[in-house]
Amino acid sequence: MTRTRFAGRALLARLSITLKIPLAITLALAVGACDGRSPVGAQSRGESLSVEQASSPSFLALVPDAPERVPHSGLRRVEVHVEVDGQPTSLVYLERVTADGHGHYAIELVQVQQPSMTQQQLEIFEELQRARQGFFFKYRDLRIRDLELFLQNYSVEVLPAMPIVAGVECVEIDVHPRVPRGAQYRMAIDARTGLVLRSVERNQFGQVTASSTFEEFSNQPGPGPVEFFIERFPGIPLAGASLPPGLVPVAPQILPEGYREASSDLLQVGGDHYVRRVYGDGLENLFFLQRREPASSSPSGQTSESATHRVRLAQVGAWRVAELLETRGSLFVLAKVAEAEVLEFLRSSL
Amino acid sequence: MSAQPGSPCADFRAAIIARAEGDVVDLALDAHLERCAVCRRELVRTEQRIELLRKIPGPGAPIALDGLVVAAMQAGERQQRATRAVQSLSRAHTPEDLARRLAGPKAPHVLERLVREDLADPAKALASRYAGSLGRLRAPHDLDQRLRELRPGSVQRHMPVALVTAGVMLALGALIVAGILNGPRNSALSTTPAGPILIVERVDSVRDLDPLVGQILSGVMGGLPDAQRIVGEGF
Repeated sequence: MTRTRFAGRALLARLSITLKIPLAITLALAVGACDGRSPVGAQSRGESLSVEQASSPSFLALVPDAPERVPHSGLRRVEVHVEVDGQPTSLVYLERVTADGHGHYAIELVQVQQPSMTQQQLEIFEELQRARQGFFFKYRDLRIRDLELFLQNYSVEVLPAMPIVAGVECVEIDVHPRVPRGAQYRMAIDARTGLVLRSVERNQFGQVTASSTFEEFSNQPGPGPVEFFIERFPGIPLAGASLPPGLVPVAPQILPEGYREASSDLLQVGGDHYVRRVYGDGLENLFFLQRREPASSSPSGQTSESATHRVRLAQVGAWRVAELLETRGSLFVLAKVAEAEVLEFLRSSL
Repeated sequence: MSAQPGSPCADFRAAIIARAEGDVVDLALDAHLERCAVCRRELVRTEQRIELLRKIPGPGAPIALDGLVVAAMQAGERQQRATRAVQSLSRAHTPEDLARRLAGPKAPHVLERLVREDLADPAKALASRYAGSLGRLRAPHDLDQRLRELRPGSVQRHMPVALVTAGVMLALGALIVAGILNGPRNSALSTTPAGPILIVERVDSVRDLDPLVGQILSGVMGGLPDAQRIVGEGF
């Protein structure tokens, strides 16, 4: 039965090469309609398909809200490989992900495989990871965040191989940025739900810089009790927030090519107030934070037209980080874009 | 209010964390803790976690800051030393013709004028310089012909002045570029003529930046900078 289904799909894939784009939708719908389960190791053979904006497969539309919408749980292997402070550094760990399909979720560290940690180091790391569940869920994990914007900024190639990830047959896509910024992405997506079950990011040299792979997966939130994450410092949408004295939100006027503002909110952490603006290109995020300094003598955000500002800039892997510390308020930018774009973005906020 | 087996009661999670962080008077929590064993265990667990987190050494001051502090502390003293040294110099008679003898070649008047104009309107000067450095294309023949018909002789008459101006602008541009290339690691960003100027200082380590940056970076990188710090500092 399974073999027949795969043979049919392989034939369909070959046919679709001939008919190209018009059949892309059909193929995707066919993939989305199947039950998605088959023995590990089964693969179809064929050629890849390029997907254009007008004919994006339907399963892509499921991806943006899938982690919140689809009940699931599983064991996931996360890898990050970058140079930190000039040293090649790797972090590899297993984590358990649980989501109830109604917006509640939890990400729990299970085991750190690399680097080697003592029990005490592990406990500290575990606490830090626990505190970051929300950030991981929203921003770390690779997924399409805005389909329209994503298709404007990236070209998608549906690969003929249909890998099995944690027992789930997936559609695999290669994602190429239309504005070359060095990174390439490959995602294996459960076409029925839109969940990304495997993602790999490579740098301009083809080296893997980050990956995330489900090793076990279930469509249930989990058999045991789950302590879902509670956001301790939820932001208030900036539009309706009453601003603390001395904080005048600034907004960058020149965005990196392809980026658009996704959210802006006001946060209070301890005694500090922050304006957090998140921008996106449909896949990647750019973070802009404005902090009101306690010693602020004049409202933050008020700067003279021709002032000179000192910016400190660092690069960690593909991330460029800029900070502009001033007594009237500090600005921070983190983005995977060119240095000139980061600086122009920051400058346009002054 | 009942919790799932093994999980603390959701309504009291925030209160438990607040209590674990310090002595917070919360009578409702006290009453709840008396009858809920799960939440009592959670309180103990949370206190242990917070204790562990408090043991993490705080971020050290950026290395670059050490140098800046030392330089700032010594700056006043250096200045005072230099002032004292200058004041202690014996006054010598200056020959009247010294200024004439020391005078080197003077800048041409045209250069002085150009510099004065540049300083008077930097935005215009930069715009002209960028425009002057653009590659020049030959105008179509018919356009050239139409211009000649419209303003007979004007193109030829202004050509030498335009060439000289372009040459001076290019020379100034080349000097600025050479200055930037030979300059220190810090550089000024001035991609458009007007507006704020950013002096960029590149740092090698995220530890030289505000701790907030490290936290966000750890978030987007799955915790890698934290893991490196925890292991690297041998905690």
